[in-house]
Amino acid sequence: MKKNKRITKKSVRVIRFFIISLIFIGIAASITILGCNYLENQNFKETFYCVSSLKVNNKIRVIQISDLHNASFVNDSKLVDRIEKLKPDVIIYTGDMVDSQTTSDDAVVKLCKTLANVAQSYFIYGNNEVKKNYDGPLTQENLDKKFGFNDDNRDPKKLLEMTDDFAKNLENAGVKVLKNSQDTITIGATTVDIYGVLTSNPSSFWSYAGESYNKFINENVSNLKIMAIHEPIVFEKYTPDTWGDLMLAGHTHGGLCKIPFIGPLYTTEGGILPARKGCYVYGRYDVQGRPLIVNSGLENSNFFRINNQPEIVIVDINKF
Amino acid sequence: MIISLLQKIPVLIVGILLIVGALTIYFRSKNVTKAEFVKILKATKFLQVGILIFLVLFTGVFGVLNHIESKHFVSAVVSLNYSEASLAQNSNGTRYNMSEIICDEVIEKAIEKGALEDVTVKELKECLSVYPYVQGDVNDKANYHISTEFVVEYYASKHTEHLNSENVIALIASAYKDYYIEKYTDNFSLTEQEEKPDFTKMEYMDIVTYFNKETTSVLNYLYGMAEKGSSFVTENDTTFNSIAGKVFQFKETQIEQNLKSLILQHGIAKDKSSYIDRLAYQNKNTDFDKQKNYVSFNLCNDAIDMYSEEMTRVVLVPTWDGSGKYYMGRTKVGVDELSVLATGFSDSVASNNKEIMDNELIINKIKSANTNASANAQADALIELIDKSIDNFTTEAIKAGREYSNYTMNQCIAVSITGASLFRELKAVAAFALLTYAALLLISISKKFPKF
Repeated sequence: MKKNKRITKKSVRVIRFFIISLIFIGIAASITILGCNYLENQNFKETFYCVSSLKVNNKIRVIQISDLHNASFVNDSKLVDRIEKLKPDVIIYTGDMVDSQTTSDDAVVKLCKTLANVAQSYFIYGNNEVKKNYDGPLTQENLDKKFGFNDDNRDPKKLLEMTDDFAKNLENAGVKVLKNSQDTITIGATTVDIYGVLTSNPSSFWSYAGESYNKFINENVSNLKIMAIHEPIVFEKYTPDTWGDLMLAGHTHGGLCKIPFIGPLYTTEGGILPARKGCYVYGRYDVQGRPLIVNSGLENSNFFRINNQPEIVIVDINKF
Repeated sequence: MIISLLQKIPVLIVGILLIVGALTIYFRSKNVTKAEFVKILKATKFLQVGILIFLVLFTGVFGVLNHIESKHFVSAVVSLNYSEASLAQNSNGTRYNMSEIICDEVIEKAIEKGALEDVTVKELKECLSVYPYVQGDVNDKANYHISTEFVVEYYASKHTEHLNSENVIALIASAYKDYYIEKYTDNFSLTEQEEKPDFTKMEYMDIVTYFNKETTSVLNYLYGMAEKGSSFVTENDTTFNSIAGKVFQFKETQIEQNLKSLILQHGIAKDKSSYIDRLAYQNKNTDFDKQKNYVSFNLCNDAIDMYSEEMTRVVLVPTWDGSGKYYMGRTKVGVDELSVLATGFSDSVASNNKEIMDNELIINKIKSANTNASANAQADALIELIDKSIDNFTTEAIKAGREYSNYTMNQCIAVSITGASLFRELKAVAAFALLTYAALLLISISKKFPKF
């Protein structure tokens, strides 16, 4: 009995020792990781993607900037300097460049103005811009209520007739704001149609953007089609024949923290471990045989953004 | 470089502490009895605040340095996914050379693509190495292996440590893909791009010949592609054979039946006299060829007649097949060769005759025809239509070819990059923490042993 008691006491001591050791190692590892990530998040990375399309006659470079949330990079000359050196043909902002909590958008407009001198720029609103300029999310219910629409008398043009100062400032800065609309540009020997979605909420996408989207997809089919949208959830919910030749999205912040072997930790729409539920969270996806690129954004104020460095995305579109 | 050295310092310190601790215990243990030794060990406190604080700090420093250092090394596996790769060939049949993955041209392209700053081709090249994923042994037939996968390693030097290693290797891979496709794959040109002739200055029948040549070139391209990918279906649900069928049908109906018969039926020509003269001159030349072929044909027949009967018999020669079985093989004799030649000359005479008759028909039609402006206008309109259609077929054929190339070559070079992994870093940090703990504990225990 005495011997057994001694063994039990020893076992408890050993277990306690290991637990405390693990806690200390865990603390050391956490401090290291958080410290490294904090330092890492003070810089942005450049993520390169290569996509191919037969519609391309010359190489095209698109730079996608997303989810800045008025963070420190807004005044970072390095960002402008790098984008200048990367020589893009088009710059596309896929929303949430401003933050709904901040009062002034001047810094973002200034940044966009500087970059508009580098390449033709397009701006797509994210949920933060929408919240600031449209007083709330653009769900079908909210929009119908606002305009007094129902299924029989819905007129998507009414929404597009609404103007806001931010859009005006951007247009004055040389940036085209695409609100459920498209623009066509010629890059070298390739004609490119760029479509930007304002109503990226799945409930209002087809009812408010459907008509313009169908026009974008079905007209001038030989043009290269780039679809830019803030929230990638629309691609999860609906499966039309095609969304375009290249789709760009943001919003997810790369799932906040990327856990090795497990994946992104959290997104607003996908909840915990969204990638396991088939959500588009970060990186390149194949959607109806075409590439969708989800940008993790440039926001860097969140302390728990771990193993997920802020980024700008560079997409090279080639024949192959 | 400095980070690499700094990262090794904590490991070195811990290593020294571990050895010093172990040696001290070893030497001092001689001053105590076995029972005292066990007593000292039992009295040791495994959890000491000093040790734990030092452990956390030291591991933290190591973790940061290790994190920075781990970002300096990245590797990628370049896989060649086309059938010729297994023969160590490029997709166009030339010899494959793995060192091209990191050749100057590729590195230069990568630097340009990524706008990499403060680095030269030479400096970047020094950081890169390439070798086959599976190494074979050329001296041992059993281990002879043609690798289709190559590992590209990048280890940042002091000249390149400011660059993002993963981006560098991704850019090298992308630049290599561009380089490879530009150098070794289809250029999608059907024929040597010649300037289009001015149809207004050409005779109608010459235009027919030109159109026939153009459609034949499109057909040859399509048949060639169909041989490579007979089952390939384009985005528009067409195959090379189906497009070729359309082109062939078009050639037969629009060019041969509609345009040619319109020209012959109305005997239209832009400059009647000079065209008739040209055809007459052609006929004269063809007639010379016909006579030459006819003489050759007769000569062959005469030679056959001169053979004795015995010589014309079939000669059987004993031989054996691949499995070693004997059989009697029939050999060619002189008569066979002469009769083949005679048939060839006879065919040539027939062809010459046909050409002469065709030209005579055209000459007669033109001579007998009156000027018919509406027929001319009709022919001009048809020529314009046919020309546009041929252009469309050419575009369709090239598009299908491109699509096929895209289909086969898009994955011709696949790259998988293995960069710094958080899990690997955690493992290193955990291992270092355990080692540090062991070293500090040994030092702490060693102090409890008497010096003398």
